Formats: sequence, structure tokens, C-alpha cells
Amino acid sequence: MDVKQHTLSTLAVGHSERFTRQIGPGDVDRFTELSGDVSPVHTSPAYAAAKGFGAPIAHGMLLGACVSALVGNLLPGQHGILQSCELEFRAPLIPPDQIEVVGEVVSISESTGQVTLKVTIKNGAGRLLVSGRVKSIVRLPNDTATENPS
Amino acid sequence: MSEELLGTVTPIFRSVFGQPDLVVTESTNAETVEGWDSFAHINLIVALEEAFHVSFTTKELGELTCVGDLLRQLKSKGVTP
Repeated sequence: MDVKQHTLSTLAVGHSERFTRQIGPGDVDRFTELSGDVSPVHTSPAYAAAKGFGAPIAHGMLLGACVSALVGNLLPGQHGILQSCELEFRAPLIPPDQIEVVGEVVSISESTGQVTLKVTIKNGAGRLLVSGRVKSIVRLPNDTATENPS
Repeated sequence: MSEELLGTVTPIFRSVFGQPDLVVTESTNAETVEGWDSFAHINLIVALEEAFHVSFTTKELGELTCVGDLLRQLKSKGVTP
């Protein structure tokens, strides 16, 4: 995936970017190790089945990490700094499955460089897994315009 | 006028900084408010822009040193209490 270099002049309300990615059991295993979240709902087929899932489910924040990829790689990309992330996890992801991550610009503050995105993640069947809003700051090198007064 | 406008913006400050009892004066600045860091500053400016339907320029933001400066800029943009 090429890293985009959006600036405020190349963004507008309604601009969207998307990518797809296959999530497999190996991704869940790696995220388990990385995060330290070893809940059996992510690691034990028997436990997941007892909880009503067909198989261990992916960590919600694994999908959150894909939102990080959206911001850092595509929207805005290289010049973006993630500021806040509000995500609602609406349905579980049971690997293997393909997800589609979509971000759409809903507001831009020219003075501060703050760009707000509406984000969604759907699985291969088109089911909504995650929805939320993300704020990032588009800041070019040597840009100090948004330093706080002190 | 400034006192009235101060009363109008105070709830916005309290909301952005998560401090329901925050006292805001014209001399208030980032040194006197806990949590007024660069990200909170951006949230504050955006909240004010959205509340009053105004836009600041980067030059104007660079000239801010305290809440009094902010009030003067809001008034110059036609914002009334």
C-alpha cells in the first residue's frame, strides 16, 4: 500500500479512501501476543463456542489497528497525526474473513489542521463490524501554527 | 461586553477541558489550565469555530497568548454574547 501525502489543500468534505484486508487466525494470534490480551474468546475454540461464536473472534482493537492504518497510510496519510478515535464495535469478526475499511472526511478545520473522519469496517458479507469517528491533525514539517498559547 | 462573551465561551472551555468548575478569565492561558496542551488547544479552537460559525487563520492562532486575545478575535469576527 502506497502512503498518501494529503494536505488540507488536497482534502475536502466527502473525500473518502478505502482498503481491504484479509484477517486470518494468524493475525489474531499475533495480536494476542502483541497486545497481551489473552482472553479465551480470542484464543480458545471451545470457549468461543460456549459463548455462542463459531470460532475465536478477533480482538476489537485489531480492527482498531486497521483504522490506524487507514489514517497513517491513506487519509490523510504521511502528514497525519492521530488525535482521537471513537469506535463502536457492532459485530464480531470471525477469521478468516476479508474486511473493508472506509474513511470519509466529514469536517476540516483549516486553522488547526484538524480533519474529522467517519469510519466504517465491514466484513466480506457486507456486515457492519465497526463504526466511529476519528480526528487527526494534518501537520507538515516545521508547521507550528497550532501551538497552544502560553 | 467582554464579561458577557466570557460567560458565553466558558461552557465551551469547561467541556473541552473536562472541568465543570473551570473559572475562565481574560488572563487565563495554557499555563493556568491543567490539560491545555497542543491537542486540547486544537479541540478548543475547533469547538469555538463550530459554536460561533467562524474560522480563524493560522496567523490569528499564532497571535493568541491568553483568553483575552481569543475574545478580541471572536469580537472582531462579529461574535456577540
